[in-house]
This record gives sequence, C-alpha cells and structure tokens, in this order.
Amino acid sequence: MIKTNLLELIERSKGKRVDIAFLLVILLFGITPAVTDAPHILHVLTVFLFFVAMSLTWNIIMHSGLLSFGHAIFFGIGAYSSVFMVNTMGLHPVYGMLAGCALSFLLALIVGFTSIRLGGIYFAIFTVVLFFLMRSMSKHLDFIDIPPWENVLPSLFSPEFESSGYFLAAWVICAITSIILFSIYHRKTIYTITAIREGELGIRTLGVATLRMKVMIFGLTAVCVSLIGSVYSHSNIFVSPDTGFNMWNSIKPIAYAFFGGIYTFSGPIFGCILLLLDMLVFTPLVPAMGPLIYGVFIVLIVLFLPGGVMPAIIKRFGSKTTM
Amino acid sequence: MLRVDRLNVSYGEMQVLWDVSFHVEEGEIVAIVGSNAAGKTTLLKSTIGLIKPTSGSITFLGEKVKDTTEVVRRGMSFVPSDRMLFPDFTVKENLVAGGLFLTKSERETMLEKIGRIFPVLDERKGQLADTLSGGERQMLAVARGLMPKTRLLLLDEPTVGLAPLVVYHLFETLSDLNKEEKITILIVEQNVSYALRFSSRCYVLENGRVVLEGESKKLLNDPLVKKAYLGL
Repeated sequence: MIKTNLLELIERSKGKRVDIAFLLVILLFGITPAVTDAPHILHVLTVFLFFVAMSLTWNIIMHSGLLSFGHAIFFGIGAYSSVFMVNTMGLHPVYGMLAGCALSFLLALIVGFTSIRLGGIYFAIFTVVLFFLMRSMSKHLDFIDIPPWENVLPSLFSPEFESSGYFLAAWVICAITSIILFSIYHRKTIYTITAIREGELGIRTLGVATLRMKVMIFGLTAVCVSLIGSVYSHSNIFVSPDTGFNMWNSIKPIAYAFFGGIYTFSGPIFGCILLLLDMLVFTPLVPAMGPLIYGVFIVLIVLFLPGGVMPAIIKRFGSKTTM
Repeated sequence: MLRVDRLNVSYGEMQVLWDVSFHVEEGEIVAIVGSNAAGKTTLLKSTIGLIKPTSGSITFLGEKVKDTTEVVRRGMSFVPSDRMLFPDFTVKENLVAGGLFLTKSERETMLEKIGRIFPVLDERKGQLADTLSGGERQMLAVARGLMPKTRLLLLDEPTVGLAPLVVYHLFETLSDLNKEEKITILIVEQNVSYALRFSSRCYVLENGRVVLEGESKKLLNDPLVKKAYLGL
C-alpha cells in the first residue's frame, strides 16, 4: 500500500509553512493604512504590491514552461483602455478596467493559440515583437481621439483618500492573486503545470490538454496585469507610450522572480524586496543607477544561487516549497 | 474494444502508414511486431490521438477517437518507449500525475492498488524518478499508465534497455494485469519471441503495412513465417 510517509509530510510542510507565512504577510499588509497615512510610504507599498502580483503571475507562466515578455503588453492595454473609455467615451473608470481585462484576455487567447505551440524561444521573441508593435500603435491612436503625447487620467479617489485608496486597490489585487496562486501551488494543479514544463508530451499522453492549459494560464494572468495597468495608470495620472507600454513592466517582474526563486510561491514575493530596496535605498542614494544595481543583483544570483534566494534558504533550513 | 480501419498517416509529404487495419477485443493481449521504421510507434500514437491520421478511422468502445484527452478519460492509456517520466517528481508524484482526472478517493484507491501490484514502487514512493533503475522506471511508467482506471493499455517497446530477467518479470506482471485486473493490452515490441509467447494475436508491420496477422502461437510455430518476418 502506498501511504504518505509521515517524515515526508513533515519535510514538505516546512516548505508549505514558508508559503503560508508569505501569504499571511501579504494579507496583513491590508492594515497598513490604519498604521500610517504617510503618502510616500503608501505609494512605495502600492508599487510593491502591484509588482508582487505581476511577479507571481509571470512566475506561473514560466512554471508552465513559457518564457514571456508579455506583461508589458497587457499592462499597456489596461492603461490605454482606461484612456479610451474614460477620456474618449466619457465613461466611468471601471469600464476602462473591464475593457482592458476583456481585450487583454482576448489578445492573450489569440497570441496563445497561435504562438505558444511554437514553444521555446520563439514564443518569447513573439511577445517581444508584439510589445514593440503595440507600443508603436499607441503613438497612432488619433483616430479614436487618443493623442500620442501624454493623456491625463482622473484619479479614482478623492484627494484625501488618494494614497490609501490606491494602496487598498493594489492590496486587493495582490491579495486575490496571492490566494489564487497559493492554492494552485498547494493543490494537484501544480503537478500538471510542472509536468507540462518537464515533459509536455508525457503529460499529453496522460490526457492533459496542454496547449489549452498554457493558453488559459497566459490569458488569466493577462487579465490580472491589465487590471494593474488600469489602476496604476490612474494613480500615475499620465499615460503615454513610455509609461503605458514600458518594457520594464516585463523585465522587473522577471528579475524579481529570478532573484527570489522561480517555480516557487514565495520566491517572487521575496524577490520584490529588490523593488523596496531600490525605492527606499538605491534611488535616494544614487538616482539613475537603479538599472545597474538590478543588473548586478541578477548577475550575482545567476552565478551563485541560480535557483534564487528562497529555494536556497528553504533547502538550508527545510525542504522544497514546491516542484 | 478497439478497431482501426484503413489508417493512413503521413509526416508532411512522407507517408508512414498505409491502409493499416487491426482490432483488439476486450481481455486480449495483442502484439504488433516489425523492424525499425516499420511504423509501429506511429501506429500507437495515432491510436491514442497524439498524431492525426490523414485518413481512416479509429474507434474505441464504439466511439471515434477524437483526441488524446477524451480517449484517456474513456480508458485508453499509453506508455511510450522512452517512458516520459517526470524526473524531478517522486515515484508517488509520477503516479498522481497519471491520475489527474480521478477524484481524491479514486486516486487513493488506485494508489493502494498500484502498491499491491508493484510493491517495489511502494518501497520507493518518496524517491525521485530519475534515481530509479531502468526496470523500476519501466514499472513506474506502466503503473502510471494504469492510474486513470485504464481498460486498454498501449505499450511501446517496454523492454528496450532492460536486462533479460527484468524483461521476464515485466511480461509476468503484464500477464497478471491482463488476467487479474482484466486490462486489455496492445503491445508493440521488437523482442518478437517474448511478444509472441505473451500475446494471443499478432500483427506484423513492414514498411507501414500489415503483412501478416494471426494467432501468436501459430506464427511462432511456422518456420517460414519465423524466418521471413520474425527473424527467428
């Protein structure tokens, strides 16, 4: 009889306990506005929570075996959908968010079904090319009354609640994303996703519709990123090709996930500490050196801890968080 | 149980299977033998829906085979020649991956059953698949193929790379599965002697065509057939 070995359960639970701790930290962030109303602190944490969600969603795409640079595309779609719905159509901002989510999901399905089957590096290249295409298109949207220069979006909240409002919006998005991904990482779904990455033909022979699954992961993460793009753009006020379609919105989540540990739940969250370090330490001390410092950190991690920081910590003190 | 009629399969411009027809009745063990590049693996992959044929029909339990997902859920399972285990999964995790469509209680029941049939896997359940011996990996691949409550098991050259004693034990296990668990087996093999001793009927594939079919014992006892087609 194949029984679950008690020792094995204890070892595995150490990894799960780490993930639970990280999830609780994210959830506890919700009380921040009750602790402080300092706009700078709330803004830093707002950006932090947005990037935690983006890093987690990028990580699950990578977990299925796809290297994607598509986050910047869907972030931009979210931003420009808000511009169109609010400024051009005169509608409530929520319509901009919904339109961005719908458009991003649709584009992700089209891109997914056509390019994911190419696999490997070709999919990554496709997302890069699509990004530059979308960025270029964003400069030629006069026909729907979106000028190529900066578009101004109204704030979602009244001035006295702006900082805490955007913080709570970011926290809700991040918390929901974290809960969903935590449950994926600790249910049998993660077996399927990992197996798709490790041996797609093998899992296909077991009856899993792998293309459909990868496309759905890509599509649902696109919805999350688009929503972030919409909300963030309202908080940033200005939307332009540089802010809406910015490749850093793809690169940073990737960098944080690699730093913290890809293929894990806690790794991307931990990796976003780099962002906090940048906003609170590096940029104030050495402005404009941020990209160089990111680069140095990533190179160091790739050289000395290629699996990322969290797997190394868990290996040292416990067992693997996930597969 | 399984009926394949006038199957034609091509890879691009190159046709690999030509009007191949065969059938497998419930409870049988049927072997498909042939030399390298005869089309045996292509035939199995087409049967389970991994490759789309250019023409012909494949029916399993009375319904046409549409794609791999639906036919696996109906009870057909495929064990590829290179096993395609997940190396970073443990033995148990590989088995769980085979039973993804089952409910939790069904999965636990199947895991217990597999543990009884393959006690060596029960001993090694926490071991990474990559660290198993060749024979153990083959056992695991077969066991994983049984997880989704399989009724028809397709095996592609399961004896490749295995020592003779391991081959013997493997065929004994498959024979027991057929008798006791009522698993129907379609096996592709280059080890013709074992395939014919172990199966009830046999098809001989040559250059993508069925050139011979019949009861395995008769084929094994016919000296002309043995020499011309089976290399024995």
